[in-house]
Amino acid sequence: MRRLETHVDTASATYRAYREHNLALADELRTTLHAAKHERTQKALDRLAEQDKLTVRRRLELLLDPGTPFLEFSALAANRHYDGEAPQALLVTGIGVVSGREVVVIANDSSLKGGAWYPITTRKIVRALEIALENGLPVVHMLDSGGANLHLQDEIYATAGHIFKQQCQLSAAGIAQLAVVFGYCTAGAAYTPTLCDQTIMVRERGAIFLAGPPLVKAATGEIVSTEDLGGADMHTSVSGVADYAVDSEVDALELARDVIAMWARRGKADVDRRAPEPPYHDPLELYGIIPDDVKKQFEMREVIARIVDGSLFHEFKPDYGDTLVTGWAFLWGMKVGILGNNGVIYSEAANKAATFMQLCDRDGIPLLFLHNVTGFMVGREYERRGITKDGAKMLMVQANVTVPKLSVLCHASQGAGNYAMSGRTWDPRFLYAWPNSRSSIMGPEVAADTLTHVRVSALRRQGTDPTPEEIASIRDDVIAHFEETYHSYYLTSDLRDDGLIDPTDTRNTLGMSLSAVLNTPIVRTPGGVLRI
Amino acid sequence: MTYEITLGAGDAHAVGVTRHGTRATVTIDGLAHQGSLRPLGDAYELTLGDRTERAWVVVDHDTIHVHAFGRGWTLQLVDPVERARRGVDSADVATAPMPGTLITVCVEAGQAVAQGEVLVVIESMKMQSEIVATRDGEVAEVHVALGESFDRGAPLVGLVPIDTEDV
Amino acid sequence: MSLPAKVLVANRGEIAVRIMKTLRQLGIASVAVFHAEDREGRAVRESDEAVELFGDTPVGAYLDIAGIVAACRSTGAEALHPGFGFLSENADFAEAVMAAGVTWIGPPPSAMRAMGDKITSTRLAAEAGVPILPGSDGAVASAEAAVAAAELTGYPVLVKASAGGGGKGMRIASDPDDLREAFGRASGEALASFGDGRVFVERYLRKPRHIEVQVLADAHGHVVHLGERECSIQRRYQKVVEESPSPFVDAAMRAEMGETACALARAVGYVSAGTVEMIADEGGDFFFLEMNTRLQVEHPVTELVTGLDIVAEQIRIAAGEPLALAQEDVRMDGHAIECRIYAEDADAGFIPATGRLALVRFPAGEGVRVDHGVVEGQDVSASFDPMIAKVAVHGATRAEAIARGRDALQNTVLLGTVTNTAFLERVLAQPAFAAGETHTGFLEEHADALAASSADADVERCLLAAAALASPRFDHRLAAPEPLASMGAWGT
Repeated sequence: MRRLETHVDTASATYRAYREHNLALADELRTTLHAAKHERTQKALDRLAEQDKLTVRRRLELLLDPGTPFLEFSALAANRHYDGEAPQALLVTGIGVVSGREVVVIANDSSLKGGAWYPITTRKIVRALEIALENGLPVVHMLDSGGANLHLQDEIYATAGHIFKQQCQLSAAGIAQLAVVFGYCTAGAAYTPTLCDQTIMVRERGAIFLAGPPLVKAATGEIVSTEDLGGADMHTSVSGVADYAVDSEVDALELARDVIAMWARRGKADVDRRAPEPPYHDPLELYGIIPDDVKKQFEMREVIARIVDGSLFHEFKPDYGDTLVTGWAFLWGMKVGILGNNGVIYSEAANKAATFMQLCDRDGIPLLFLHNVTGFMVGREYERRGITKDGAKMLMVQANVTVPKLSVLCHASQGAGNYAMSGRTWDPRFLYAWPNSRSSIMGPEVAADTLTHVRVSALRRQGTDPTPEEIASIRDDVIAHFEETYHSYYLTSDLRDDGLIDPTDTRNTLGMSLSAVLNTPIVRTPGGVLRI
Repeated sequence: MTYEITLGAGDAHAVGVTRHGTRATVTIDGLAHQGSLRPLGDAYELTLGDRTERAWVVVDHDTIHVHAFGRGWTLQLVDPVERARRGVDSADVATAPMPGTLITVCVEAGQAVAQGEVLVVIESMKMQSEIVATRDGEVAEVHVALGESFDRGAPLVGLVPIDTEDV
Repeated sequence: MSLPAKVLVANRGEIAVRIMKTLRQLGIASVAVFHAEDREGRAVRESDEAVELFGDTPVGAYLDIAGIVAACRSTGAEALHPGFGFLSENADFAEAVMAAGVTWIGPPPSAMRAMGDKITSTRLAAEAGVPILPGSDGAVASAEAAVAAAELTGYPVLVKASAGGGGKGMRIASDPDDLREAFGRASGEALASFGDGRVFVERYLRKPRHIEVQVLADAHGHVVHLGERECSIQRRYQKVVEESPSPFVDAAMRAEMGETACALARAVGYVSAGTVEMIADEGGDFFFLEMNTRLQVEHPVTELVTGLDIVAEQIRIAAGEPLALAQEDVRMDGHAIECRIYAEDADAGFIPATGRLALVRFPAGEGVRVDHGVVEGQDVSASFDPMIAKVAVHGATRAEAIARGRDALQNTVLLGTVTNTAFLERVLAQPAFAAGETHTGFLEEHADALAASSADADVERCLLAAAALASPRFDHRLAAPEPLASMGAWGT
């Protein structure tokens, strides 16, 4: 490994302009995250207090080991959906440390709408359980939801069933689950605590039943109190549906920590490790490195130098296929194989990437994809040289390696380039995006040109010749659609990533993600390494 | 884990510890401090924030003796959950854990009993079990006569409720 | 005569260990006697051989005269050192030992008897010219009789109930009118409290000091004194801090007190080491209290300033050797202070504490002497006196000794029970102590200043952290995995 040299001129006008731009983005992200996580109306907070309930953030604070990190997923989920009435999709998910163990936490936010499920809420739970399942992480369900938002029931129902199936799969995989019941778990939701190995209920607050007292009365005429029907004492001393009854949320969380402390502590996958050291080059310089426009290029090695331990990197095939950087480094002391784009992927780059992934797979080294890709190179010459064939090799290898994959959308991530770099649909273990990043099927200008050409041709076939204004309008509509839907905030709102992150948080985010993936054994794919 | 720790006759403080190798984050009443306790010769080197002190420490269950700052100190640790549970258990009435027969009566009404003291002995399923007082108090009534049978959950011995005890 | 080849130490704990140390230095074999509770004790470990004693109680075992004499016989001990406490002032025991042909390392039984009786000892002291606290000869019948008695004692006087105790029926009077009123009140109070209205009158001493003189007398009529010790710092009539010399006593007073003490020793035909206890008032007048016919607990301070080994002197004297030093050979060099470490809660009325001494570390170094009889892991039980150790220090000046004493106390680590080390350190830290303003009411007078102050917030935090980090409740297996642990609270 060699220390990466930097060619960034921090005194340059470009650097300063980029820096200003990206600091503004970081600031916007921080503000937006804060609003989603913490800002609630006084009315909402008063209502929680009336119910003698803690905020979900306070519950988390009491659950997690003090002084340990929390890797939160998709805090901006639903931020561009449902008119913004369900910040963070009224759910907090993440990986935290409880009693020294990494656990996935899934916690309802009942400060708004009674913590109701929206379609994105359901998908966020499914994704969190998927993370638990893939990475062998125990789950703590902190349940306090009024149930599904019935106006959106069809979309919710389409995915909600996955949750319970995943809970069963987790159990089969030997992964522990604990439920802490702060509110009502009615109907289908009653199965979440019941499918857990252990369940704690708060007296007078938590309840589990297939139908609540009003429905029971309507159905059978029976009049019964909530506590009697599905309260903590009933379930822990009579039905056995739950295991521990406590008087307060604070006691519940304390006990949860105690329960988790009794769980088995599994060893981690044996990967090459060394003592962690911070990057030699200052990560804050990332703000001046990332361009202020997604179309502008930058050097991915400068990013790698500000993420990995000691800025040390062993580059593979440094002189071949130079639009894709490949090599090994340590991140928070754990070895990782990095693939980073420097723009368009050519055949050589694709082939180098395929070989590199096979090498990492052979050695059981997790892969990290740093996206800045506009796609595979197009044109007569490249088609004749079989760019699609080389792209297909890269896709084939990437899809089938069994080492864990992590992705970060650093800038552009478009077209099949996104697929080749293990975009969301290729199921990397974790995928994060920077706020400046944009991801779509193609660039908006290309799309606009294409669509405008199609529309204008159609109009001309009908005998109308659009005015330049009309053409501009067609073009603007396409651009506007792209601007909205390829935007990082829109994508994260729809759970196309595991969260928008500030570029300077990339190192810790990836460190925690790598630590998480090592909770399952790394299995290598049979077969040799092809020099392609 | 958060426990309550009391120094001498002082107030209880909520203390939590998260370890990071040899270092630890010690949270005292919600404020986090970086700390460590490393062996140093026959004693320990205690570090908390920027303060370092030599300390000798002896742990006797939840009583912790520390010699530091030129003198010995005794600290008491309490698990609030355990305490809360004890509170719940200390009911006014000792009930039968299983159906059985009363074979020995150890107390009578008006008698003062200490927590853990045997009240009665019952026999059930060929096993004899002692029923003990869950708290200090005064016996109000022995509900079952010698040789009498009872069902699970039947009241066996009532204690004078705490509220009225001092009246 | 030659020194005995083997000596039985009829005691336990620190004093037994201390005597054995001298025996070893003199090349004499030691025999320990012990009750089962002390089997693992330091005295048994340090001895060359040990004999178990039995008794109804642990203390009773050490009072078993027949058992101890039998132990002398069975082990062939040629002499016996009784230490202090237990049977050390029991003349019958001394006679039984001697009757068994064993040398008694102590005074003749006749001297023990003479000094053991309050009335006899006071009379003998008066005859030997030792000042006696003036007072009425028995109860006074009337206020006028009280005034008449006070003419002889001098004012102020203390009117005290004959049947009294606990301050009831006790009045101080500074002139005859005062006394007449005090007589009436004290007598009435005494009648009400004890059903006995008789009162007597004696000279009242303001801020009295307990000062005692160490004497050594051989069997050949030579008597020397080793200067004085002041033992005014007392709680519940028990000494806790002793020093030598007394900050109150000058050379002239020392000579006068020493002469007096020697005269008394001669008068009773005293042999061995003994102590004449006196009480001194603010004006420098001193009066006889009693004579202790044994080694004192606080003898180390005298040893530290004189450089003598009093136990060795006792053994040589018992062997018939003449004193090797004359009065002018006795030098008092520097200053020594001894603090008695008790297992007790000084902050809660000095109630005795128990517990297992899980960790024991005593201070060491120049000018520090520790006499103790404990071993790590030992239980401190209520069976015996709660004294664990004596930490004595020596310095060129009193200030140096105080500083050294404070340092030594701060470095006395006794974990597992409650001890008074911090309290003793606060005593030495008092400005009034530094100024030598010591008297028997010192601890009451300075009670507020001596009360334990609560630890400052910073110290408390450190202690809470130490407790938490040491407690197995905060399980090491709950440590966060790396690298998460190193990331701190990132993301929260």
